[in-house]
Amino acid sequence: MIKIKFYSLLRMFLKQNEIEINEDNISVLNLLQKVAEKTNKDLLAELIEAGKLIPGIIILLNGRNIYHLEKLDTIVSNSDKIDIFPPGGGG
Amino acid sequence: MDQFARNIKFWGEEKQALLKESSILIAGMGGLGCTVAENLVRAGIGQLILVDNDIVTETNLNRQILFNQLDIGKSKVIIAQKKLLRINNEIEIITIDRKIESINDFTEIKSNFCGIADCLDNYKSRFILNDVLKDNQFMVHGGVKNDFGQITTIKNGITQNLRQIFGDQKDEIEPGIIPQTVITIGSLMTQEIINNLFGKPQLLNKMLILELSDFSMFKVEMK
Repeated sequence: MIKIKFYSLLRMFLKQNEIEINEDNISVLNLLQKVAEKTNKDLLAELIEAGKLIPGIIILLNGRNIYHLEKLDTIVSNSDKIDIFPPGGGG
Repeated sequence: MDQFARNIKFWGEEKQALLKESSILIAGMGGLGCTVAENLVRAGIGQLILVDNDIVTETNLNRQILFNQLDIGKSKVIIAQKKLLRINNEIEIITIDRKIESINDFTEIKSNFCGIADCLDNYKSRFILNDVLKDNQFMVHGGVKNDFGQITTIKNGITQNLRQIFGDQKDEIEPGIIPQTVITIGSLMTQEIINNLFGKPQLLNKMLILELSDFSMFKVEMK
């Protein structure tokens, strides 16, 4: 199982803290599509614009930002953990 | 030491003395910076270095607890210094009226500060600030928006740096910020700064995410 956790605005949008998807060797983009199907929410519109992750959203794969990996093409394996949140930038 | 009698009842004379010998650089004297600064002074910190180039404006007054209407138009770091010395006039407060645009902006700081409080409001400056961090120092990052925020501790060689964690962040111009969010996150940052000073940081390789809306708190594992 791939465990995907959501925080702050996304947790409110999906109305749930986490979701599990039984997939292996799947890209982050395809995984997010699976989450959208399972939750019946237009998650991709919240996260992606013109094929790219909206700046201001962080997706961590096992604690590492996918921005420094292969971005939305990063491959996720079964038992991996994903955290998604929009960090606060203000002070 | 009567001022700190109630602190000492909790953490003892030794830790109170350690705080008196400690120095923290606070980058950004907005909502987070004001809260962290006041908390640290009341905790008994010995030295603060305040860095900010802004003046107080009316829109600051919803959340920046060291400032009031009489301060509008005046330098934030100078006003903060004045107010903080009224709480404890035995501490040293160094003010640097400067925007953080380059690592060279820190070359004039001669003090050996123990750690940095990242209370800035933009990631470009936060990333530069991270470059200033030495191996024997820590940085506690905080950020807020609306009714949520996050905190983590950065240490060279132990944690990821801010660029690695946040990647390609575009700064939102003046996001919504309410007083209770920024004061809460600022207070939790203070706790983690003191945890670091006492040698027991709790947020190394962990991002604390706080959501005030339903009082949720999460620790996200970082590697």
